[in-house]
Amino acid sequence: MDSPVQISDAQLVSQCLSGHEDGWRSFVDRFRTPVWHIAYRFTATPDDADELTQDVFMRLVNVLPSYRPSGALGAWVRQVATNVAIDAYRRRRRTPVLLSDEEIPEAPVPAAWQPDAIAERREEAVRVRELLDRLPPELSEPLILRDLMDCDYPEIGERLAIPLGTVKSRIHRARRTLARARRALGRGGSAGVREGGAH
Amino acid sequence: MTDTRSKDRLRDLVSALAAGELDQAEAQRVRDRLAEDPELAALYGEIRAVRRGLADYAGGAEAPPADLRDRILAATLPSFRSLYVRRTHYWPTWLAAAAAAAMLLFFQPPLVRGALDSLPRASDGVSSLRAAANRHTDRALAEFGVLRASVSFALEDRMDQLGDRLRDLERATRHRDELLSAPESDSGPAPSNDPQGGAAP
Repeated sequence: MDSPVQISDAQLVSQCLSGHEDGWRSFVDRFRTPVWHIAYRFTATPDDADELTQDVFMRLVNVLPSYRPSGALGAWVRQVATNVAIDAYRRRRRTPVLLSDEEIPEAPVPAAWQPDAIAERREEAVRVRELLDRLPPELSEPLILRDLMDCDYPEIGERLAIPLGTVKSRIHRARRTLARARRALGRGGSAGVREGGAH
Repeated sequence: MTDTRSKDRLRDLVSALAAGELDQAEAQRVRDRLAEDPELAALYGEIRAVRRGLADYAGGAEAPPADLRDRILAATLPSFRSLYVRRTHYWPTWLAAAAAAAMLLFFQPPLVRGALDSLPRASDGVSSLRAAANRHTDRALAEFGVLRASVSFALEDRMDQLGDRLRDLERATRHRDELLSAPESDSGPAPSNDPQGGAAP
């Protein structure tokens, strides 16, 4: 149970930098849940999220002196966590990409598919998240930041070092490709719809 | 080509509409197109379904497992200790004052400095001690840079430096006494310093 009186960001960091282990424990208590949620969005399983969360805190230990009290500690932690998550995502994505908008064959539009049960919706969510991991990283990374992390377009451009127009076009392509792949899977197939004329 | 490009543009607008990223007027224009084009309407429905799936996925994360805290601490505490936890010396005020006074006595009076400078081996010894002191200081400053955000630690660090200086001073005093008590005609090799105050690299 956390202390009822929460110390300020600057005090917390100061305690940590002074070598107080209780300070570091408080730091972990304060930020482990938001960090885990970020990790969860970048990974496909809770176990992977746990592991990534530990990696984030390992990075935080090392970069803690670079925190400046002029900014909110939570935002700073979130930024570090996102950067670690993107790095980890890229390392993990060095496996072959299975989906691309050029490779997906044509498929007819299925009947409306609206799962009612919560379990089915959950299953559907996991399926979409898995499909997302099969997109090329240049499409999946901006889409994760936009649709899972709620980052705005300029922030995504800054974080991925790509122009704003490219951010938008990649996000739209990613959504379209996912939509068509999901449509194919909804029919019980393993492919989706070709993205006509997309580049 | 132009047709393809405009179709791509329209699909981008459908994606933006599904994500609620269009203003009212533009959204209405796209909806009008959806009413005319079943393929676009299907795409719109699919993109909305994908976004709902992603939102469900993000929202489905309830809480991290209970043992995650312990695992994080087990993974990070060794690094935390090696980076930030240090031995602590709390020097009494009188000792700090005495150290400062002794340093002034040793480094400032021209009489003492002149006497040391007049001795070739003494000069070597002082240079060596100063080099060692500089190394201590450089190291302490580098570490201090990491910890400057902490006012309390800054104080502690200064006390550590003072302790280092005090030890150097004790060594220097011993060495000076040895040099001053040695005969002036002695031109043999300089006595060796202790390992900590050894020759400058």
